[in-house]
Amino acid sequence: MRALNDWTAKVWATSKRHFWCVSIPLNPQWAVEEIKRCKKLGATAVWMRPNVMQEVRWWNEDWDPVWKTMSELGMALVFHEATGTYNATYSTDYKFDRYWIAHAVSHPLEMATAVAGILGYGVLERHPKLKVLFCEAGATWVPYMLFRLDSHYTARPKEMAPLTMPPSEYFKRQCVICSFEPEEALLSETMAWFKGDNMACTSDYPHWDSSGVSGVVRYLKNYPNLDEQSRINFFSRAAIDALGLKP
Amino acid sequence: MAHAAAKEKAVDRYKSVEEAYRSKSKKLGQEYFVVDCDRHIIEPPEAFTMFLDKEWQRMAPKPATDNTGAPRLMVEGRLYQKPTGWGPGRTEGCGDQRPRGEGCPTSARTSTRSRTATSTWISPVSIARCGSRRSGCSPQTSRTGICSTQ
Repeated sequence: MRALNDWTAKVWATSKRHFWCVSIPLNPQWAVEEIKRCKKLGATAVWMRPNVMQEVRWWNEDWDPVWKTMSELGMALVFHEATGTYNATYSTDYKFDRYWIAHAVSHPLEMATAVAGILGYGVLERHPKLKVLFCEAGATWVPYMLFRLDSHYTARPKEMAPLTMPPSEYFKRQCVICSFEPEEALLSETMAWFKGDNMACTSDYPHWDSSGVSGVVRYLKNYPNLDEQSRINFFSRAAIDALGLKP
Repeated sequence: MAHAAAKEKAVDRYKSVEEAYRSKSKKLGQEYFVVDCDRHIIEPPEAFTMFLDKEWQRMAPKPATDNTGAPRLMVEGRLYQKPTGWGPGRTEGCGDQRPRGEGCPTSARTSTRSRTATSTWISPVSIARCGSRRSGCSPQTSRTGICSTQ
């Protein structure tokens, strides 16, 4: 991890327009050290898989020092799924042996478990300044998942000790969906549900399933009636706030 | 108290960040200032030859070519990333490489080497061969590292 981060910092991130994420080891003590070291190298955020990798349940309290360090340093947490790797529930070597099915399913479903884990276990209750971004997993399932978590919050109050408010409130306060496919069904309804917040623009460049540079143009064409503030939030303000970008 | 801290009015840095980062030389595509939150880079093998401590060099990801001629990365004894196509990886199968670091079913067929080779490098060629369809290795049957044809 140190080698990868060093290469990213010293060889790749050579422009002020390059922001990069720290790759961290799956050990909270080591992760804290690496995050502090990389902050000095210019890292903007920290990325993790949404899955349980190598039995690590990152939502447990032994990971609190990591979130505390990131909150203090103003570094956001970025979740990003990757189908073709090991350990994940919907990986190609565990559930589906056809890559395209695993890929179609793994991004939203693995991310849904990350949303449930980070909200349900009270990580955002304990770390109210931690910003969390959910990448490349689609957007329109999120309102449903939040509705479902909220309905359980209401129906089973005795089990909600880690939380002081409905899960969706934490999401709206600290989370951003970073997934953008301008042809996604019900996208405009989802943006309206979030009142123009909590969503940020991404391209996933240069992957085969990227919305591409033209994605922004298609977005403007597909949704001509969105208000200006929602557009600005989506194109940049949400990212600036969540990632703590500075001039 | 924690909530009070979270509710502090955040400073809106939109204008200042836009001013600092928006390209002044480009004419096209300037209607909106866009921050792209998800772009990908892939590290070259040099990332590890340049920056990995000497004691770990042996475990550095290395370029390999599988038996279809496709470039792949060998990471701790397994080929990564699994490419698009039938099955978990190529039609030849990548499932044969589990569990981590263990040898391919071809070697399991003739010896116990696969069960004891957890810390040794496996040649990319042998892995590619072991996954051959002709050997009858089904990805679904080889998750324990034991090939159905042994």
